Amino acid sequence: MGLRGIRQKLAAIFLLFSILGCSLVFFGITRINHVSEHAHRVMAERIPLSRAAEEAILSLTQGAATIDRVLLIGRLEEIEKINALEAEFKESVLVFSTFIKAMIWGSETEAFLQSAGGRTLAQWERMGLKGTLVVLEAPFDIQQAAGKADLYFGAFSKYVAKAIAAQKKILNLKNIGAHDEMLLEIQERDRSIEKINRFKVLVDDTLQDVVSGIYAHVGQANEQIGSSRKDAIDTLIGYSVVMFVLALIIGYAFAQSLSKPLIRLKNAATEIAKGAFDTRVEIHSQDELGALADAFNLMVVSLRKAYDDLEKTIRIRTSELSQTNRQLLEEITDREMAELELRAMADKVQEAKEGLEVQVGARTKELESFVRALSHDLKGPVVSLQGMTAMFIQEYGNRIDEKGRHYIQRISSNVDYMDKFIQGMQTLTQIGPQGKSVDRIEIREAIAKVISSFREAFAAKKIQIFIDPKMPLFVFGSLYLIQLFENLIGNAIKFMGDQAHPRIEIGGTETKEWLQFYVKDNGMGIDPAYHQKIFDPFQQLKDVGAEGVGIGLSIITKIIGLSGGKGWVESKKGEGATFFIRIPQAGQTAYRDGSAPIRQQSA
Amino acid sequence: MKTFFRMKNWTLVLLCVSLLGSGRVSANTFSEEVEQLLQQKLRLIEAMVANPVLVALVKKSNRDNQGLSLGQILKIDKAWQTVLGIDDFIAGFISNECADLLKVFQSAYVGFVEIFVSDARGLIVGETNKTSDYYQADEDWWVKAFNQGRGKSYYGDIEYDASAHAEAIALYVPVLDPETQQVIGVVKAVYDFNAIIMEL
Repeated sequence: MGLRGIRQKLAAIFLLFSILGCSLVFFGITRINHVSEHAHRVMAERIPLSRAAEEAILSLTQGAATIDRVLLIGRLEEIEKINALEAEFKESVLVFSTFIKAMIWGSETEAFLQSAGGRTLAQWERMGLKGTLVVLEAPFDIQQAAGKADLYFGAFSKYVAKAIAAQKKILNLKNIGAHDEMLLEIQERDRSIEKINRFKVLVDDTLQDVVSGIYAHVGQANEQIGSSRKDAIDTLIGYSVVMFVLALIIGYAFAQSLSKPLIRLKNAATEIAKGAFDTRVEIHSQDELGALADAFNLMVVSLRKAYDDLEKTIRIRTSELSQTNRQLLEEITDREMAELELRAMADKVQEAKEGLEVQVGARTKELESFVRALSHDLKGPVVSLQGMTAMFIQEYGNRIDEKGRHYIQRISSNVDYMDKFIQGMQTLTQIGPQGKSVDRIEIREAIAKVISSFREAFAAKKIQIFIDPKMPLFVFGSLYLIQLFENLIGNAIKFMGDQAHPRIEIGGTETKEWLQFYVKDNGMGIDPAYHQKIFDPFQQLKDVGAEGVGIGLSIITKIIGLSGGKGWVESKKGEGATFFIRIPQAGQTAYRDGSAPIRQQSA
Repeated sequence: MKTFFRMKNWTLVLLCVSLLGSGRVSANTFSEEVEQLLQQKLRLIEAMVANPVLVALVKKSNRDNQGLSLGQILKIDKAWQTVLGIDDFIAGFISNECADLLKVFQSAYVGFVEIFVSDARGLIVGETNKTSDYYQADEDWWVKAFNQGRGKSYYGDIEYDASAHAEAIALYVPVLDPETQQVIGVVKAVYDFNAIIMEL
């Protein structure tokens, strides 16, 4: 498109210049023809004699007193002007004489002005010839012939005047009857007429020479003009043809010089686009196209290098990718195998887990049934032992010695422990999903009840208790919730130690996922080594000498576990302990249906 | 080119005519009446130049100018041509004895609008009007009239006489030494057209 565009533009420029050149040639030829044809026409109008002096002479011989017709040479319009002047200038011989001069020697030239002088110039101007005849210098022979004509015409006019004067005298003498004098005047007039005729012939002959000379020169001039016209036209056409051909050749050469390198560049670019990087453009000119070709070739070299580098890099990367791909495939295969194995193992584990869960559940149930049966079966003997021990102490306490009382006291205390142990086992085994009909209590109310039950212990140990007012609202089964906080607060009281400012803090927070409560004390603290163990049933810290059977935290764990929650402790020995319980928000729905806690949002 | 196209076509043609006709007619022939008249005028002038006084004046001029080199003559001629009007040097030729003789002749024979006499080297001796130049020997008419020292009387072409403001015919007559019959000078007399017409 670009190359075509350049061609079109060059063609358009060439066409434009051709049109301009042809127009110029046409204009030149037209103008030359116009000038030369007009010159012919003017000469044709100019030369013929329009009038003959014959008429004037004839009128004189016939007795005319004036002459009103003269010989004129001139253009038709000039003659018309002179004709008009004739009415005023009856002595038109002078007009004739002046006109001849005017024609021959020109009008506004210095030579004519000098030759015409003041006398003839005025007449010449009155004839309206001023500005119409501009001749620098007439040919010498014509000048001389015209001068002679003027001379003869002077004599002619003199005798015309004489004839006219004689004519007038004759008429006067005729009127007065002076016959002899009239005859003399007639002779005089006839002599004048004879002279007139003589000089008329001389004028005619001389004018003929003038006219012939003019014709000859005009003819030569016309031939010259014609020849010049032909030469001019031929030259113009020849020049135009040469210029046209030159313009064509130069334009074609220019177009070729411009388009050929560009076409080579285009072809080279096409070849390179096909991958022929060995292609080079051969342009040896020193102009911009040569520089463009050099730059193009350099670009191709760079392109080739870049292409080779790129190809090499691609090969390396492709090889690397293939290797990586193989490795990946192997890894994927291995992983898939492993995954299959894992899935198989997971399935087996799941099956085993489910089996175990079933077994554990069954065993748990069996164990619970066994524990319930055991505690139920032991309860009676224990209660009986308690009664019997009490009765023994009451009836025989004073009759046995100190050692006996010590034994019986040990029996009594062990029976009490057994009773508590049985009660704990019963409690632990009784914890389970609660029905919808279970009483529910809000956490603050539950805490208040627990605190109230420990009122005497708080007073005895001077324990200060703080409850976080921002603690979230939470409703739970009354029995479990009270039991939960009884164990936590009871533990805190139990393990307060000798703290100078004993303090228990209860609080809680919630997120979208869970509710969290804590009971914090500044008591004895727990060695982190026991943090997990203390949540197992019947586990107690031996070194603190606490009372109880070690089942409280197990109960808490079981209660929380019903709703999917968990409990833990954060503590260091001697720095107090904080017990946390976390219950999932989602657990409340299940609880509401029968097993999960019910939570009420605070307003 | 612009001027070329502005010129009237008629002018163009006549200009061509004038340029073509560059040849000069050497011998002018008039009608018998005019020829007789002009011959008469030549005889009149020849009679005038035979005047011993005029001959003596021409001889004196020849003697006076004998020592002038051509370069000096041309220098004087150039100075003459550059003078506007009449200076003392030129006035000396218009009002000298020779000029007086010429003016007497001029007044005796009406029609001679200008007469001047040159010596054998073509230098002005006396004149009735200021001539255009001082040195006349470089003119064709002078050479023809001098005729290599043999002398020749003749009349010339019709010309415009600037001093007379009229067309006229020039007549050329050599001044002969009566003793040797050698040409010692040339006289040019310009005769007015109107005077010729009046005499025809």
